[in-house]
Amino acid sequence: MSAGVSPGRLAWRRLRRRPAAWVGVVLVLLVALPALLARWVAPYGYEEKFETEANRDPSRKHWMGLDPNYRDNLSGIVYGGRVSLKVALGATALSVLIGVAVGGVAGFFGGWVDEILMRVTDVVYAFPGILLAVAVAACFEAQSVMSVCLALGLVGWPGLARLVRGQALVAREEDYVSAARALGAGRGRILLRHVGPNCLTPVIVMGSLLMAGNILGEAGLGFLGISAVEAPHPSWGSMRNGARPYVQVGWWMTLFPGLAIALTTLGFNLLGDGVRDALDPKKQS
Amino acid sequence: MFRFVLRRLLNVAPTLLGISLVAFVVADWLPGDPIALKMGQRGDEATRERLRKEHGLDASAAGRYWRFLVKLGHGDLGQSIQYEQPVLRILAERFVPTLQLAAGAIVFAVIGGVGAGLMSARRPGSWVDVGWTGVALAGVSMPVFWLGMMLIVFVAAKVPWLPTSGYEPWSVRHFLLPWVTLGTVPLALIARLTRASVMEAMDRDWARVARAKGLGEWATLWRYGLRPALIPVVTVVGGSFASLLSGAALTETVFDIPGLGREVFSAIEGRDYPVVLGAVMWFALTFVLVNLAVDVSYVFIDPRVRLEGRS
Repeated sequence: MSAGVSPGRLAWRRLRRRPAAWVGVVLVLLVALPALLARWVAPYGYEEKFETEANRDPSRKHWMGLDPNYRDNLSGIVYGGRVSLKVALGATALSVLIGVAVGGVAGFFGGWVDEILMRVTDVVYAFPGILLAVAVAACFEAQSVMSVCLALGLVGWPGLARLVRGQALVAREEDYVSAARALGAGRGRILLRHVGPNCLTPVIVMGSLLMAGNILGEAGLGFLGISAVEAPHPSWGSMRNGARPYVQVGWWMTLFPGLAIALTTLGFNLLGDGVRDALDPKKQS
Repeated sequence: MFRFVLRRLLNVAPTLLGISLVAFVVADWLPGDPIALKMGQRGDEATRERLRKEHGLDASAAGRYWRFLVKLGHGDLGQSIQYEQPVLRILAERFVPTLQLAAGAIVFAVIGGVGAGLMSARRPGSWVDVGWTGVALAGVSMPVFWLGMMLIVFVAAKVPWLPTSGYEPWSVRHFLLPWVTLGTVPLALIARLTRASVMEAMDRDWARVARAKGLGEWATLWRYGLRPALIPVVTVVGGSFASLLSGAALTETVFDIPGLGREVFSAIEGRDYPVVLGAVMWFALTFVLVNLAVDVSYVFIDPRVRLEGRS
């Protein structure tokens, strides 16, 4: 290690040498870009129906076949990605917010605050996640992007809270914090300038893995019939659910939305793992 | 050890209480009336009123929670509104398929995961290793129910003796695909962890000595690679098993297995609060007990572990 190279730059160097992380980035972009540019990328409009086609199989005109309602499956997947990604992003943001707040406060203040907050965390952690999400979603009269975000976001935070608490506990005792305090830095400055950046990277990693989990979670809820309906595009999870009765006749109606889910999840998993490995000081080369 | 187990169980009591409270509050928030959902268009207002009273739904939320706790103290989880049966009986009945499903899935996951992990650790960087890493990554990235549906379409529909779904109490045939479906995620987790832990152990002096003295490759891996790696592996196996017991709702739905996960889902839909509460308590208890069993197993895996010393 040469002098004058910041830890961030070192981490970046290691990250550059991790092909898995880059495969993850590519996969995520592969899904996110078409979803963002759906109007220009999708081969057909989402509402367009092709009831005159002889069958709904994949063909040269419709690469991924038609869905149960005779709409183009590929276009549906491109548009559906918008909803799925929106839900996953919203749920992840909520989980990160709660997790960082709970874990940070518990770790930084300690004592009885820590005791109570961690008990609450344990309670949520011991809940069967999918059932809690179903129950939270059922509190709403009708499902929307918002309600599914809430359901997933309120379930996903305990792991992150524990992680952040651990980070905060360690950071509190670090020499650089004592040094900053000795130099006269206030609590807010220490938190923002010193403790925060040091806790940030594990949060990014966890956020990426949470994104993966939430894409799967949205799909699972969709499968159980709780889907973020935002007319006119259904999410991947609800596409798969709509195709359920057709699984024996039209495998493509289930296969392709599922593949989209799996590839996106894989992308976020690879990205999270790659960043974690790159930032792990034990693996410094 | 008994003191350790006892203290752990006492420690768990407040958590269980908290879980019951959260479950009760969420259940209470749900809009909809269980009696109306049960009766549909049938029945007059008087019958509904009577049923409401019978199930104690006319009391305040705090009153109902208190009654639940008192009954719980007597080992009674109350009556199901939908089935008019004791909740405990429903739980016991529905838990059997779930347990069969989860137990088979975890056996599949352990055999596959430890095997894959050992194969990978034997030759890190080889195509076997890369292949298994890919399988493990795909395993944790697939939606479970999608895997199940694809297995039904592409395997069960093509193999004459494999049923596409349904449940028969002790029929292995019916369980093969559900086991694979539910076991894939834990298999992937176990494989990744086994690989990492075994590789770490194989780097140590004892493994080098064993190899230098001419012990065979697999024998070294098994005795000096896997044994020291057992504690993390057992931990992840236990954790996976606990989550399979409570998280099989999707697999049960795909394969039409009348298990507890699916039951809770329909109980939430029917606002059958006693069943939801009872099942959540049941899940939490199994979760806690499995994790406790994992901690106790450390003593047998590693003689250096002393449970008394830890809180």
